[in-house]
Amino acid sequence: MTATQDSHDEVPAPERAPVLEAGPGPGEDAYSASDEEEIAARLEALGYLE
Amino acid sequence: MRRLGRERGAQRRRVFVLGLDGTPHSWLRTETAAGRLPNLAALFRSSSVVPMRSSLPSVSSTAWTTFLTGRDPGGHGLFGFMDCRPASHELYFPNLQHVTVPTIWDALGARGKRSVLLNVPGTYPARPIPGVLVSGFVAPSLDRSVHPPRLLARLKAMGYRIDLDNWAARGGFEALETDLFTTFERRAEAIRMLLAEEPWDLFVTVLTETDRLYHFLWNTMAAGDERAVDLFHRFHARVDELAGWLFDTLPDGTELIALSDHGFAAERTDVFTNAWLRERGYLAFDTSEPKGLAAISPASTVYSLDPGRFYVNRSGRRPRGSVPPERAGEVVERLVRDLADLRDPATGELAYGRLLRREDAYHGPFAPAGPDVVLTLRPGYELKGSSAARSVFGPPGDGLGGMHAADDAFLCVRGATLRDGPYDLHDLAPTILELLGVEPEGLQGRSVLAPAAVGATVGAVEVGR
Repeated sequence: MTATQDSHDEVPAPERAPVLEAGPGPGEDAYSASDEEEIAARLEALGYLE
Repeated sequence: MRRLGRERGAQRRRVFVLGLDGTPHSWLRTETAAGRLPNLAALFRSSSVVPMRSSLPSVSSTAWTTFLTGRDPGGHGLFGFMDCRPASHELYFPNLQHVTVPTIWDALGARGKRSVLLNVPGTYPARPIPGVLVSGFVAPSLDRSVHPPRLLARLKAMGYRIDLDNWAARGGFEALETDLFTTFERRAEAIRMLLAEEPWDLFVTVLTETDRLYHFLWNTMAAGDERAVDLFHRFHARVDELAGWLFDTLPDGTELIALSDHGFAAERTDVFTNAWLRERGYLAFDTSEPKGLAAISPASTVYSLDPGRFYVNRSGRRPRGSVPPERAGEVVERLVRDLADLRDPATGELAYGRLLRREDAYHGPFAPAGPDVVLTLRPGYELKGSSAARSVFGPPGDGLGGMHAADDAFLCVRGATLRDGPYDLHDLAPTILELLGVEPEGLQGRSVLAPAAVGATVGAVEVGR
């Protein structure tokens, strides 16, 4: 087995690699609690979240 | 006969984009063929007009973010109106702060070009951009929706509204009718103000009032109800008048694109995908009346978010995840097999359109965070992600009568010949950049313009009938 193959084998499989997710980190929310209520109400009015 | 902008020598290149949220290609064709919407009909006669595929899923925040970034959700990270927080099953509402890849205004700004965006869904909170940004749905208030801040007082003074009062509109015809026209007229006033006062190379405005009318009255209109049909005609006549005014007013040399982000269809049956997962033994909750996915049982192997997004409940990803990574593939395969049975018991029809695995639907750095399986909507069957629902099938909610359609968006490019399809929303950013003479970099989409047509004289073209 070559060095290159050894290195390649050490790359974590996609399932085990950290998954890059969009979304807020701690304390990064753009919305206040009342904002979230307002958004939820708007989405529910259009049939989402039901 | 006209020539595309890059052959116009010293004329300033500009692109104006008119978005009609949710307006179906098929319906527009019917209306213009019937002699209504004369200004749009005239535009279509000198344009290429084609059906276009929406994003996966076909909801406005995902769709317009796809438009703005030239990337599918795997490339920009927004997979719906709501998603699970990282390392949690708690839901949150993704917004512009979570879009970390460059947008079209970034690409243009880097070349000294100025963008004006008014009411594009998914653009809240407004952030400083090279130009003007007035956020669209689901912005909860105008105060954080406007850049530069000097425009906030002007918009408030004209009574500008981000959206209808959708609960009132859902509750009654008169409230919908009044709010529809009021919101539209104030939007039109804002368009006229920004066109008159702000310099721009790219101007994008989206009319979301169309989508609201369709959500509440598409079924009624399609059934031939005279009052609903009349309201559709009167409202779209006003949209057509605005379009005609724009066509007459835009500076010479402006390239014009009109489009929708998805189509619409009658909604007959709601399909509750989490109820189906519970019936099939994929999903359980730790409480008898779950208010959301936060109460998911760690024994669950799959959960869903609307519309039609299915996620393997992986261990190591979220605290209540249970499926080891090496077993995720077999769970997906079993799910795919079982979804072949997700059929309306009344008709035997499949309750969705197409089924796509994640690797076929999403591309880019955020793709691993996307759903393992995503379903497109089949006209008539609205896919819902409620955690509380216990029945798989049910009637549409009171006051609702219209659902998004995945493959019936429209795209109109004035005076252009298009390459062969299919056409996708992520193709628009590279198209706009090409029209403005900016080389696209790192985008997933590709320009819809036919290479031979760029810079060539073209005649009136209509395709896609």
